[in-house]
Amino acid sequence: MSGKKSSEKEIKKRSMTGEVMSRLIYNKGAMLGTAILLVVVVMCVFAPIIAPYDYDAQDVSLKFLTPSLQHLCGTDNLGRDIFSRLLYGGRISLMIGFVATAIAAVLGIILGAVSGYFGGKVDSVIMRVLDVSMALPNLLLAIAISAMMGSGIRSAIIAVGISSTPKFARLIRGPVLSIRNQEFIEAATAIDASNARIIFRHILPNVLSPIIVQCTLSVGNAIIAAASLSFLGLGVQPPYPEWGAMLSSARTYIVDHAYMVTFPGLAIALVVVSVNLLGDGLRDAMDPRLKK
Amino acid sequence: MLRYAVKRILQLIPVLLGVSLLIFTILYFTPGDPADIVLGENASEETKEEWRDSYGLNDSFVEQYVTYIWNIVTKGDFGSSYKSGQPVTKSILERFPTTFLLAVFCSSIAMIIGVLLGIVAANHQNSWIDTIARIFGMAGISMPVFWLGLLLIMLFSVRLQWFPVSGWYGPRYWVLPSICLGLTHAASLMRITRSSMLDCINQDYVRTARAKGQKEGVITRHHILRNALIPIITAAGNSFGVALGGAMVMEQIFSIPGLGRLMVESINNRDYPMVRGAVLLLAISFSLVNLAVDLLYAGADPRIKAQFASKPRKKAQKEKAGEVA
Repeated sequence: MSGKKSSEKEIKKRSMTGEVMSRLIYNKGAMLGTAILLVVVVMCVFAPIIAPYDYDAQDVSLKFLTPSLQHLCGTDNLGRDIFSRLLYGGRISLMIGFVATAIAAVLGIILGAVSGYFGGKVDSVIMRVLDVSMALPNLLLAIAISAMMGSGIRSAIIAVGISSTPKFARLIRGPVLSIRNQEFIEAATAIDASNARIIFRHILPNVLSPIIVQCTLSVGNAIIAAASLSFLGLGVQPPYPEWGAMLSSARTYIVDHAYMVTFPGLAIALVVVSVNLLGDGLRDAMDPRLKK
Repeated sequence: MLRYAVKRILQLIPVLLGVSLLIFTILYFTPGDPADIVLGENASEETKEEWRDSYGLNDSFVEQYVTYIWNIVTKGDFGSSYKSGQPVTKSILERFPTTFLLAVFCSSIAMIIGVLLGIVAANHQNSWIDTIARIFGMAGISMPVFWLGLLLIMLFSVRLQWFPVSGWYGPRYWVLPSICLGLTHAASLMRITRSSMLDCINQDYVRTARAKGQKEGVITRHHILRNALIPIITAAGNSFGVALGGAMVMEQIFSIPGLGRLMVESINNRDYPMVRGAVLLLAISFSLVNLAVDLLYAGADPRIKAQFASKPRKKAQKEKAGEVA
């Protein structure tokens, strides 16, 4: 009996994800984005194997070499191989993007769910705090936080993560508010389920699709925000080859050595485009209005 | 309407107090002694102490914050810069028009290109022009704005020498930064316009309008765009606010002496009164723009305007509704 039940559950579960996946697979843009993202992630993860040179190997006699077969993206002002630096830098940029988004998602989901579920005073306190953070443009908040925490990868992650938290909280609160009054929540309350159980097992699965879409799009924004921080001289600092920091230091040579500016920017744009394509595809695939 | 506006302005007060407390706390706990940076590491402890005293830095956190807010509320005094000793108000008001001008240019470009392109793309969904618009939109939201800026400099300033590389001395200097920021904002505005239009385009009332032989232009303007307007206004207002606050990166690339650049410099110099003043001014303008957007909703959507209607009228309406029922 119980075995039958669980298999039924499985079929149902699979069909829900399967439906989204099958729609996603026919979305050329999303598939292209996934493919690019996978290639970039694999290349960055295996950077020590793939990279032809060390990211910090300087050879001043080889400085300012234009792209060639030996140096795919040329060399910089200290003779470091830009392609190798991009691979190692990708590890930092991607890590910031994913970890900052994870922080923002976890904090935002908890804040938004608690605020929407409990309502009343808790809700108004959380909403007022969010109002304050929404009165500041995202980047400004990130700059203020990273100024307080000093430069470095960790402070960049925290600054970007915290500054994108309010968006998640606001996104979750609305749906939670509307689900809270539905009958199955009443049923769960009636069988004495704890608040945490209701929120995590009954409410959150129902607001999963906007969360997934927002997470995907947020990774791209986080990468750009982190690069902007390094570009302004906050966040990740040289000699770490973070993409924004590389752009920032390449700026000086823009007149004579344009390729130094081109490649780090191209790397950022490529990753962000692929994440955004995937996010757009997911949103379309999860759109209930498209269900037929 | 007026009552709603006043209410919203009053609601801004706690928010701005919150912003000031937030930024004050962040800067209070920022490591590094401003005295070291202003007077130099080698200054004697007594001079440093005297300097700290003159800025009230030896008071407790609460005392400092209350004095700060008190001076702003009673005298409009945001304190003086640690670095130059000049009043902060004067410096930030000097820089603000530049940033504001840049934001106005950027938003105008974004609105014209973004909204028009979005409308055309939605009206010709899946055509070649839609494909181009979608590629433009995707590229625009994915390109880091500072990279686009550097590319524009490379092309138009270094290669073609049409526009100066950096500075802010006249219209010729305004073009590149405005286009750069404007294009990225146009991209996101285009995406929102397009999807918002597409949401309306398949509605029954559009089919009805078409069935009665209405002209396509009128359908687009009156039936589709009018209903799709709310998200577009939100996005346009947001883009203006973000341009105000996010111009830091632009100002850094093109060496524009605006508020954002002042702020980045002040952060590096540990010139906290300046940072606080600039952040507060940006928060105020950002909130006012959001307020203006909310008021614009009423102009765009009569349903929302009805909600703003003063209470007596609402009551009358209710009574009327009651009579009918």
